[in-house]
Amino acid sequence: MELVLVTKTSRSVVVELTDSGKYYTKNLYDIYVNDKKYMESNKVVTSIYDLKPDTDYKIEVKYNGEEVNTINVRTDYEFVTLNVHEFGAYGDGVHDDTNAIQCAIMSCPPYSRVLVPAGEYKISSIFLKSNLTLELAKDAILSAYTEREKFPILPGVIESYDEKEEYNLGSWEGNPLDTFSAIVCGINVENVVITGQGTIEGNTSFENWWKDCKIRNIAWRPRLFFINHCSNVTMHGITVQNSPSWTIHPYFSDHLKFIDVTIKNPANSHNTDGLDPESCTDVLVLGTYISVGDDCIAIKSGKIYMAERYQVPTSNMTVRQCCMRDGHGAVTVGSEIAAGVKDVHIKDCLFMNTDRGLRVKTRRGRGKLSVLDDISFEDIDMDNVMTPFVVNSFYFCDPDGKTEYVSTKKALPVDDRTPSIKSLTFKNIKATNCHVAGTYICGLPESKIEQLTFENIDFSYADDAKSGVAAMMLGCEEGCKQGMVVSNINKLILKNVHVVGCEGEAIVADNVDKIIK
Amino acid sequence: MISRNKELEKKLMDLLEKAVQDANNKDCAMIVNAVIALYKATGEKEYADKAQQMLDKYAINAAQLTKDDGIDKYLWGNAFYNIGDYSDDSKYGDKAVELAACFDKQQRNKIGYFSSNSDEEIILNDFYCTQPFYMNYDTRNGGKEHYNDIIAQYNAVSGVFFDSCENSSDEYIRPYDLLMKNSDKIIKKMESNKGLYENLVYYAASLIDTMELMAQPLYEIYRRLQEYYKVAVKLLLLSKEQENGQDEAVYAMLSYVILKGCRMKALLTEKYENEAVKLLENIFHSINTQDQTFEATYVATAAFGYSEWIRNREYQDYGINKGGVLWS
Repeated sequence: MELVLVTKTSRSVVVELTDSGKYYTKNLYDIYVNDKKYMESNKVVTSIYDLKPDTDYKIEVKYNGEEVNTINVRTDYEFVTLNVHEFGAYGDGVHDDTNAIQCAIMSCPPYSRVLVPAGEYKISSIFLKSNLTLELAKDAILSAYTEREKFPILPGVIESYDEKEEYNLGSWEGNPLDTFSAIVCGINVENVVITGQGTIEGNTSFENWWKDCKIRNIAWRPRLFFINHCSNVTMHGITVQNSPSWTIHPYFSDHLKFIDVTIKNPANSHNTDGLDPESCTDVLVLGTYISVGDDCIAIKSGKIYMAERYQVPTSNMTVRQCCMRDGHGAVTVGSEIAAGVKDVHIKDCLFMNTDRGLRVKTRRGRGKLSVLDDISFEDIDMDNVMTPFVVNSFYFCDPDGKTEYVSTKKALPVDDRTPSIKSLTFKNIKATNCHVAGTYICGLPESKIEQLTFENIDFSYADDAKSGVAAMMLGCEEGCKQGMVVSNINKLILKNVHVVGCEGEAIVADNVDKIIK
Repeated sequence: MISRNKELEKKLMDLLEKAVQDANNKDCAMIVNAVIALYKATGEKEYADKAQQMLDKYAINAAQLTKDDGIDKYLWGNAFYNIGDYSDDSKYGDKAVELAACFDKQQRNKIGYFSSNSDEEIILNDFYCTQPFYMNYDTRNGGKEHYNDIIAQYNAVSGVFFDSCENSSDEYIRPYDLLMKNSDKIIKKMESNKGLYENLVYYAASLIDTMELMAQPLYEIYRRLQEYYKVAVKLLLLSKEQENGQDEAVYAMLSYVILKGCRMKALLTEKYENEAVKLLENIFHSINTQDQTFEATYVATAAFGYSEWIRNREYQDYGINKGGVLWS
């Protein structure tokens, strides 16, 4: 077993226990800190808290009493701790602590931390600043109000005085629109760490933000966590739950890390994606647990206005050692991907009980900049996923998504509105207890998927497989135990692919130019 | 809301009621829409009741309207929808849908937009009659199937009128900049053709009214319309015609166009609203001081202008005051 330091702060250390497990280690390990037993862990990515700043620590991992591996770490230097109680926060679940916490944040000098001790802190929206460590201690809850009048609004677009430029703050489903500011919000900040064992609680229910959720009411719904044009932001350890809409939404930001985070929203909640990086670069999601009402991770790059104007795809993203369960898709690319998505790699993950494993959602109208390339899934275990792989180029969940232009299966002329998919690779994947289909892949007839590779793939089906609709597109009929349904592809590579127990043909291919086995 | 001038409102309502009696079909529809605009700006139910009475009395029933080949009939469409919303009586919405069915066979000109004239002559004010209702219908009942057609019609006419070209490079160039390349030529054209100026005012009105009625998530279409709108307003303000000889009704409509754009954040309020307010104040002065019968169009456009004059232009009030937009 390898033991690797992942990251550290002045008060915590994160290590990775690599014993070929996915999210969970194969064995249960004992963690010792300076020769004293600290905890037991069965998670590959494990966090150690309550350390002292600028101090040397020996982290030792034992299995059955035997030392397996050891590393030595020195925690970071820390100047001061700003305890929010000293700034007037009550933490009693009644008093509005927004201002007190905001005051502590704005007062925080470099190399210091704002500490939120155990307690329930009622807040509306707090804003991050640069060079900040915000620590939510164990049993600390930032508990959000749900009255929309308490939240500030981030305007979608503010025009410059010379009328030549614009300043974009709010974002809703790929467009620059007025939205309520997030419960925790960062605008143009850098070098921020949010860490700890505490919770950001959205308190959303069907009585507040999820009620009439498709209707704009004053402004669009807030995110739980939103960062816009930020850099070097790390979220570590905390739990975020019951979000009003997308839970974590990094937007036009780079150098981002999400490590050992827990994201939880009810399975029946509306549009509560877990983590949606949009037009972001260099993103790492590691050791994170996600169980939500929509897509666990949805990778985006805006709709056509933002894509044409700013041309920033999401790129250089890695998702490793994560567990995703429930929700519509485990990892989704789309549907707002007008500036493209490239160089995205998902590895060593567990997908459980989601409707789909990998899900690509695109459609005519996303535009010529909407190019998906170099996206891979490797070493993934899926269980009880309805359809492990879905690529849908006719996605209908848009205001104009059910128009003839979007839905026709006839080839239309390729023009500025036509998106494209270049290379998708799936390797070393075991999908057990599938229900609807092994794969359901539809490219556009006028812009076929260039290359699709399946290597070392095993599909098997649940004995009591449920029927369902594999893709949200017009013309996709309900089905059960379908094999690999593929259409509109230039080159399909199938190496060592086993489909066991499907009903009908294992591979149903339509308009596929070349199949290499 | 900016403070209301109830005396002026009363006078406007009296004039509208008087003017509607002898108005032709187009002016009549304009008047009903103007009364609805007053209701939306003030919240006075009395105005909505009056608009409903007028609609019931003067709107030829939808079945008859559909037999009319002209373009003007579509001005009734949004009145049907608005009174339907107010009265909660579904018959008005049904009439709107019946009227909208005419779009399927509506004559288009050679460049592809709805027109009463099939040759290539550009009649910009045709857009005022058709597009806001076409958009409203498509947003409410049309499944947004025709959004592409709506933007295509605007693209077609703008390509010809502004003599603009599409951006062929990979770099982003704002449509506004492409459209403004020929601004000098267009301004000269307007100097020699008084009617063109009026047409452009109604074209700008069609744009801002259409923008108000569309679904926000189709943002790229919204922004394209906004670019056309901004260019139109810019040209109108740059044109010397503004100072020599347009009817006051045209200026009243221009004021409405500008103030509504400010309210919807399509224009910067601090840069544009003064011009519009100045124009309107002159018009209100005429209405207040002259004891004469005004033309129906003049009164209707003055009421449109007033309705925007009293609405808050400092921030986008969608939703907060139930500003009458469908942006949700």
